[in-house]
Amino acid sequence: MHRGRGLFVGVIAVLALLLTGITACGGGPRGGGTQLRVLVAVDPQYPEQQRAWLDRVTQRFKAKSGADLTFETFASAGEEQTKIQTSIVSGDGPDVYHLGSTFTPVAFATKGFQVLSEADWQQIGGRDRFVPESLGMSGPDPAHQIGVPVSTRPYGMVYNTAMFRAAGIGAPPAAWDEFVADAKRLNQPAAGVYGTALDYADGYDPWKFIWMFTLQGGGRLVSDDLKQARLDSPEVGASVGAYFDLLTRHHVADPKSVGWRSAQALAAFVNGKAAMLPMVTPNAVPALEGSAVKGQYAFAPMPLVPPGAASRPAGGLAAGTIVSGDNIAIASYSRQKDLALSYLELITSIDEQLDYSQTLGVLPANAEAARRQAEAHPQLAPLVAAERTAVPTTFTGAWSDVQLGLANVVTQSLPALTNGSYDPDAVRGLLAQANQKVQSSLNRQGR
Amino acid sequence: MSPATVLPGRARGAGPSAPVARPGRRERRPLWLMLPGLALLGLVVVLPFGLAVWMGFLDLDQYTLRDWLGAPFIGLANFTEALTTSTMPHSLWLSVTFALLTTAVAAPIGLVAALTVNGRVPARGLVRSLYLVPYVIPQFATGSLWQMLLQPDGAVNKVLRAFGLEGSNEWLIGPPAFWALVAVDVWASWAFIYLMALAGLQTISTELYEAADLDGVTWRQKVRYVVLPQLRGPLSLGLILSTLQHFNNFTLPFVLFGSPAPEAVNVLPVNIYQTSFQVFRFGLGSAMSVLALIILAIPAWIYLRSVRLDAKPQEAGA
Repeated sequence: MHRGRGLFVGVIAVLALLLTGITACGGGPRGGGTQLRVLVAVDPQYPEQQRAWLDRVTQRFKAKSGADLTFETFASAGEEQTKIQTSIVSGDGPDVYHLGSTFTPVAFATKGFQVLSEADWQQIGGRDRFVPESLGMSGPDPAHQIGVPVSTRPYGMVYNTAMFRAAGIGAPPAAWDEFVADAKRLNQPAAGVYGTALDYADGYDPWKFIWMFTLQGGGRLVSDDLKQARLDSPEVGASVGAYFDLLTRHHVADPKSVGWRSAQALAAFVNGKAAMLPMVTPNAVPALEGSAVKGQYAFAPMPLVPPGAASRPAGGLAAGTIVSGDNIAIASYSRQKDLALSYLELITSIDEQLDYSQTLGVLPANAEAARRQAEAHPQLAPLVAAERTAVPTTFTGAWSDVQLGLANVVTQSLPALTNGSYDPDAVRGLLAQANQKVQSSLNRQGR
Repeated sequence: MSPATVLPGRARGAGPSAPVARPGRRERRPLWLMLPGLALLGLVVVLPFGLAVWMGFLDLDQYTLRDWLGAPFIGLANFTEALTTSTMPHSLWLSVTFALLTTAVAAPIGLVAALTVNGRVPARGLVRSLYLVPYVIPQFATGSLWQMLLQPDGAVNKVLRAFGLEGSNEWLIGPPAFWALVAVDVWASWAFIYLMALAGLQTISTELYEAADLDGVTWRQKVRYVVLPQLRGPLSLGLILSTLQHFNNFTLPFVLFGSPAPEAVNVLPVNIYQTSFQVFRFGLGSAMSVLALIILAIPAWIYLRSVRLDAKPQEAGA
């Protein structure tokens, strides 16, 4: 009995010592005032150019502040979230995080990032230095902003100018019914050419179509007071139907697009197998420039009139693109706030923004840099214009449930789409399930 | 066995009335030497598992993550939700079916492959190496490779159609996705059973084969009465480990089908990942993980009992 108790006490003592050691390691002084740790996503499209850019920024930051900049990278959203979660729980990790714009509401909900004061914004250079719409995903309101925009990726469409000319179409469509009409004129299924390329199996694009159609039609995915989920509303059901109808009713896309992801849809366009490709960003430029359609393509904003309508109904928004891009946020546990603000000032300055944009194929969040970028690259002007009409997604911690729920509706409908149809009742059922989960998350947020 | 390691009253041959040998102070085993091991075990296994169980009782999500120890205690609500209103039962059924089916298909393939290279055959080393190729390819690469092959106009459909079969456009998106997952996982994992079986075959004494030959048995009888009984241990271990590996396989379905996955392949690990890391319900995800662990522990315990790996040395040797 004595020996058993002694053994137990010994185990506890060793465990306590180990834990104390670990805690001591984690709780020690961080940085010493001369180092800033930044977490940034690896750019899979331009890895070498990104590494060179990181080196350049490190040198410029050293020259500006005298401090060292240490970049830590992540390769996937899962890795990013694991890093954020462990850092928030342990109170130790990078000082500054590059966050995707649609993840910013979730990051805000964790309370793990510093809300920027007016003085902080002034230190960065003021809100006026940014494209106003790019601030749409910085926080729930101007008084509670955590994210400083560093780049924008507005969504638009790209079309084949040669095909448009051959079909006698003078301009890209401004309404979705016009889009369908144009696509039908451009359709040549016998030749394997379709009016548009779509990517129903993509994990991200489908929910953006449903979001866009819903908002243009006057509906909402979440009520404006953030209390009610609206995924089971008729507007959302109609939007899902309109998205599926492009394939099943209008037949303006390749039937194989049911299994396509964004890369395959882009491949269809660059190979001349589709005349239009909606939901693209400036990231597509390298692929377009290196393809057979080089010199025969142009960007355009997405149509802004919802399917089945001649004009936007009351309450409908000119929602052509979400506010997309990257924000930078400062961790709440960071003791390097001044350095972090200095980094933010540097990286959002005009010269750095132009360098960043040209290196990584994104658009600047800095307003003057965006203007210069559009002047220097006229082909991107329509996307810069699209950014000016960008509509932020609902700023709620439940947004992940919204995204996943809508993506799941499309994923589970793919077998039916393969057979050229879909069951509206089944879609309504899936939307109702998704709505329950979003509502549950909203309720937990409001407790 | 030294006197110091003889358990009191349990010495082989000791009858019920045999005097109990009580060790003196000097003969006591130095149990304190186990302290570092026990501490590590506590830190690496017990503590995380205890935290996972505790998290299952909390309403832990993105809203409460920062002060996670202060997250609301909700008792068994997460466990109840996992078993009733969530999609866990469906995912559990899929995972169990998938694990058993995959093991059942992979086992005979692995066994036959081991038998083909156990004896002296030409280029034995090369064939053995080739057998291992699917197993050593990282699962991520396997998933990416088969995702291309299973496209509607991919190689799988082309081969099937060349043989007059219909193929499917839904290997990656519809009900056939389950069979695609089983086939790809069998392709990637049969070599594990092969390895276990081959290791077992190498331990069978040649004298047994010679004795069988003298008795004039056929090849089939030799397999039935000599090989299989000798392989019972390694093969059982291979089967249980293989089943557990298939049950826990996350990478392959995640890479093949993405997330959200089609309903036919929304296996438990993918479901738990979605719950925990895509919609941030860490408490519910933990409850699902704990339930899955309990369910997995049942066959593991049955296996341990059947091969008596958990028996005390004197029991095992009895």
